[in-house]
Amino acid sequence: MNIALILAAGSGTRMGNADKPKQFLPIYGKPLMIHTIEAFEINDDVDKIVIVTNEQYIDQVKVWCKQYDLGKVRSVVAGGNSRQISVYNGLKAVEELVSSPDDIIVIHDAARPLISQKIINDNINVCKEFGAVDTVIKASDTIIRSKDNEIISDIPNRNELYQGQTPQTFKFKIIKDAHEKALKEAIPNVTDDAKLVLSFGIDVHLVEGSAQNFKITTFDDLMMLKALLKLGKTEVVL
Amino acid sequence: MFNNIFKVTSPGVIEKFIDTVEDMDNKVLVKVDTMAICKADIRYFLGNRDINVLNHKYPLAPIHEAVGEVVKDPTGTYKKGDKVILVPNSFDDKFYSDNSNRRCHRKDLGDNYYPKAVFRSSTADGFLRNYYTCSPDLLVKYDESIAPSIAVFSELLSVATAALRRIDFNEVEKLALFGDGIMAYIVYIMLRYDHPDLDLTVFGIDDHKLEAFKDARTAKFEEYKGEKFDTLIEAVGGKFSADAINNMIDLSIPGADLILMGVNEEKSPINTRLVLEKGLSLKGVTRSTKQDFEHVAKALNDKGVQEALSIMVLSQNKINNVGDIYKCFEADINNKTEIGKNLMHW
Repeated sequence: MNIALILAAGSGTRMGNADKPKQFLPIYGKPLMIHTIEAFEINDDVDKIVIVTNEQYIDQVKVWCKQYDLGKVRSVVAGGNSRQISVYNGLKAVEELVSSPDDIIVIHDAARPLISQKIINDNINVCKEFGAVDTVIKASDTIIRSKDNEIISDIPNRNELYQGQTPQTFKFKIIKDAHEKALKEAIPNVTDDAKLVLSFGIDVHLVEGSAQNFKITTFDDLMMLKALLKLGKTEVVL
Repeated sequence: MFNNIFKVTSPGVIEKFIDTVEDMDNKVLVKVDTMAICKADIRYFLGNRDINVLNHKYPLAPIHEAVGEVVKDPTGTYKKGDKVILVPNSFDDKFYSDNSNRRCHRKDLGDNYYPKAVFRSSTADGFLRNYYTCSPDLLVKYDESIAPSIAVFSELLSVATAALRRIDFNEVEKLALFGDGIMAYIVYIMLRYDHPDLDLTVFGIDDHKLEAFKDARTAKFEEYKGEKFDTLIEAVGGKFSADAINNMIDLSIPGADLILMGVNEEKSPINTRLVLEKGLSLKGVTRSTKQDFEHVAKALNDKGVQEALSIMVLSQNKINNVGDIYKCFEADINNKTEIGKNLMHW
């Protein structure tokens, strides 16, 4: 079984819009996160969906799931005050749905609405073979490392660098164990599940993402999404 | 949900656009599977039409030959996973009340001739997109055992069906089909399916292409010494269509019916003196109706039809980006020797 775990518990503080986190902002009359979830809803390989969201939005998200006919959504649970806790809360809900420790969990940011079916399929297929997968795109700009924010410490070889995206996809046992160990060993505020799994000595394989699969984090990102969509609304009917 | 759609924005340029999938209440959501490029798509892509027309059309998503799979259907007409042919034409019931359209009410002509009827990849965006929503009556289910690479030729087959609808086969004794390209071959397939015992002669110029018309007599106009014909179909198009039509007029018996199917951007000078002398009837056919697609969906179950269509699959190409689309257009543009198409699928 393949379960999508959608993370929609962000605070949106970088959007300059404190009263409504980015994942709830309407895009063409529909909350951003619903566009994202629909991509998983229509994917033949995704069996069930679990949503992690802000506690005060749980009822609202349940209403949207009904309104937009998202029949694969099985659970909407509250996030925590960090990404790590939100994922862990989601995994606890997932645990009630899995039928095998090898079931595949596709973890995706609700704020990446332009996820393609190909990326979802590639994540699931590669995970079936290797157990742990991260979606990446090759770094196009030179990456500069500076330890003091003043001078360059290092310029890593760009050919070895990638930018991480989501989904990050794992067999259930691998990601659950990694999170429980992190809690037990008090590893603080892990912002990336691939990093967490990697820290326990498990290989994480790469799946090619897409520049289009960008995350709506800042106001500029939202403008970029709206600009892309505006261009797309030019259907010609004479 | 967001959707990728690819549009021709100017001659030789295809760009990706991101669109939202329309509201689903009364519409079926279809995952577009396999697509084929039509000569009309190539004309828009190359800019081979009047620039004033093109400036009204661009940006325009090409492709009106496509099949897909039903993802969701709130109307309950289709099941998830049903294989469907996408019907590229639609019209509004209000056209019926316009008296200037009165001849379009005739069943042998069809609703697709209403001047304001919408046709995908011509007056509305085509199917070069990942997902498509439409009302259930713009889809025709085909049997799941049929490969999408075969079913994708349905639109062409439907136009051939529309052409044959214009002929009274009770009156046909000898039929000539002019053309040795894709459209002629498609007409030949439907003729063999609908009228297997018909006396059929195919006129062409390319020996290699004529070999594909296995179950018909083949001939070249200059060498033909046989009987004349009562029914003649032109499926040549382009700059040679005038020659073909004049040859057909020469080979017609008095009172013959001529069906014209080929598109030519130029005006064709034809021998009207002989048209008058022989009392010939000329009918134009290039548009099919949903009923034609339904007939085609049945024809697709025929092994002979499937086998005949299979030679038209020149290549199957997975589309990951705009560059892959360019390659398919270029392959079809450069193909001068084979009857077939380079298919695209996501």
